Amino acid sequence: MNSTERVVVPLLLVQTASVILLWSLDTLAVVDQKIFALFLGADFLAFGLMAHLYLNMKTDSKTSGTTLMVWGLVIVVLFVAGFIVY
Amino acid sequence: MGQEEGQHQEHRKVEEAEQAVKTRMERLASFISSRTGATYPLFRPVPEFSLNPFYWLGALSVVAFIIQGVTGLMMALYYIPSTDAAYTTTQYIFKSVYFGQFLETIHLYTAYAMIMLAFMHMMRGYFVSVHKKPREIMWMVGMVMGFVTLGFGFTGYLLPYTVVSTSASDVGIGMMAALPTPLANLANFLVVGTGGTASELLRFYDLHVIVLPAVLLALLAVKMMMLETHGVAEPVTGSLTERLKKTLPIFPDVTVYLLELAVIFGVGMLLISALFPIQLGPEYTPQAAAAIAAQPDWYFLWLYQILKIQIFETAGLPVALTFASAVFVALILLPFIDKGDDRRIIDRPKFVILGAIFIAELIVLAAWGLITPGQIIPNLTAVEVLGGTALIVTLAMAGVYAAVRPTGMIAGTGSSPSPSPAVSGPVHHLYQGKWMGLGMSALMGFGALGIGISVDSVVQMIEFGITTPMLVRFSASACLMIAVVTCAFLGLRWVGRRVASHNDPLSHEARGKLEFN
Repeated sequence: MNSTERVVVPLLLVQTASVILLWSLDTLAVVDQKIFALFLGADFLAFGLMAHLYLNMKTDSKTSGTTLMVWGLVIVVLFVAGFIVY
Repeated sequence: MGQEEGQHQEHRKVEEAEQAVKTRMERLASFISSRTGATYPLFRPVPEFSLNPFYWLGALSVVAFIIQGVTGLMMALYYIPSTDAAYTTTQYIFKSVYFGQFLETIHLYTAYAMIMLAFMHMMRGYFVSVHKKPREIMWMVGMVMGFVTLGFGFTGYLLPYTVVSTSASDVGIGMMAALPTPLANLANFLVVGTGGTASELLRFYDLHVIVLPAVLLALLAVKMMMLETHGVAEPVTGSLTERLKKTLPIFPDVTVYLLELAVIFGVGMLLISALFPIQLGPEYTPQAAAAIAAQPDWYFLWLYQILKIQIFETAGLPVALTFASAVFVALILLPFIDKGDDRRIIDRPKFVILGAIFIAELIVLAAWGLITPGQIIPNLTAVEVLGGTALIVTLAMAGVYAAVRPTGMIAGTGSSPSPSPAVSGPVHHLYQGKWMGLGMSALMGFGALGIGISVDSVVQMIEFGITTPMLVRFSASACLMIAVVTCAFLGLRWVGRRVASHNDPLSHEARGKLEFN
């Protein structure tokens, strides 16, 4: 695994955590619907980043550090925002 | 030795067992593949240059349609399309169904996104000439799909049966009466029927959940078939490198790319839904309807605003509808109107400017409609605003073209640019002065503003008499025009000098040497 591929490990952790948290919500409360959107958003973005890395490997393109940082930051922001609302 | 031999044999046994499993798995995969045709290459490989979000606006629109389908199906479990129950069941979804409000919000915002993405897909296609040979029929099918998408918006808007949605739908239904008799009868038969409001709601529901999805899916299948035949349209600018011409298989590579775009789109929808959850408006009653100004959703506001122009009120309604229909027909028949070989934006100024005017007018009409609900627009104001918008866009775009369009002299070739068939055509040597181009377009914009304000001032003075503020306004706009003309003149002179010196066989350097010698 190179350094870029290693990013997949925390992404999988984010996905697992968000899915577990999604099952713990009170689905009738409006505030929980917000939390649902935030955690699901983080989950989706983690998957999107993995897809991005995979495609870059396939097309021999380099994944820029800035893209990784920004993408990862957005995931963290969504995840933390979910916990704050939680 | 004996121990080593034993280990070897054990290892071989494990390998053989693994091989047997693999073979069994492979056999199973092969069985499934051969019986179901799962690995049959349904779609042709996709060139690498198309891994760009702008190529996938239509696909994202389909993603939005799928989200619509899933959320709509969930809501359909609870919704009852009758005048007595439509509002209460919608209210039930909002308050008592798990994630009900979230479902409603996502359904609405994704519908908006679907309309916007379809529009962007169409306009991108227009500007990069995807409607040209051999994709004429694809364009026409795509246009019909766009109308079906608008149909989803129209039919879905009534379903919550709130006072706003019902009033807006009534306006739309009322407009149908102004269509030519055969069309009006057909529309009436399709969406209203003979059973009054109850049958109207039921028909809207049926159209929304059965007829329109079926039509859209059928058209999508036809369009995909043609896409497989013709492939993705090549980019119109620049030449393709070998790497970009390389193709990627539809599965898994292109599917992964589409999933990547889809999840980013999904996240956008989720966040907007989380930040701005919709609330259910008050229930429809005739009294409540009389108290509000009916206003359609944003994607029909442009049409609503046209119909509010004084000249199109009541008796002029058929004229307005004919005009709007003519625009639609022109868009459908675009491949037979814009027929030339030129595909590049720089080679099609007439159509590009028309497209820019179309977008600007739609935005202006929609924004104007939003801030003037229920107000009748005087004819003169309409001419000023719509004419002014067209004028400003035309002049600004003409300025851009004047500054950046390659001419024989600027290109230094001594001949006018030849038509550019797709990518393989000659590469134009564009005039490099981007700042000059921007400056010129800004000047043209200011010039158009000056013209607009002075025309408006003159009209106001004719209508309401000459007043000092109006005279000051007219003088200021005239000064602005003079300043613009002066700057444009000086700018063009400077460009002319640069071009002349560039074309002169005796360049500055050579001339300097001659003078020195």
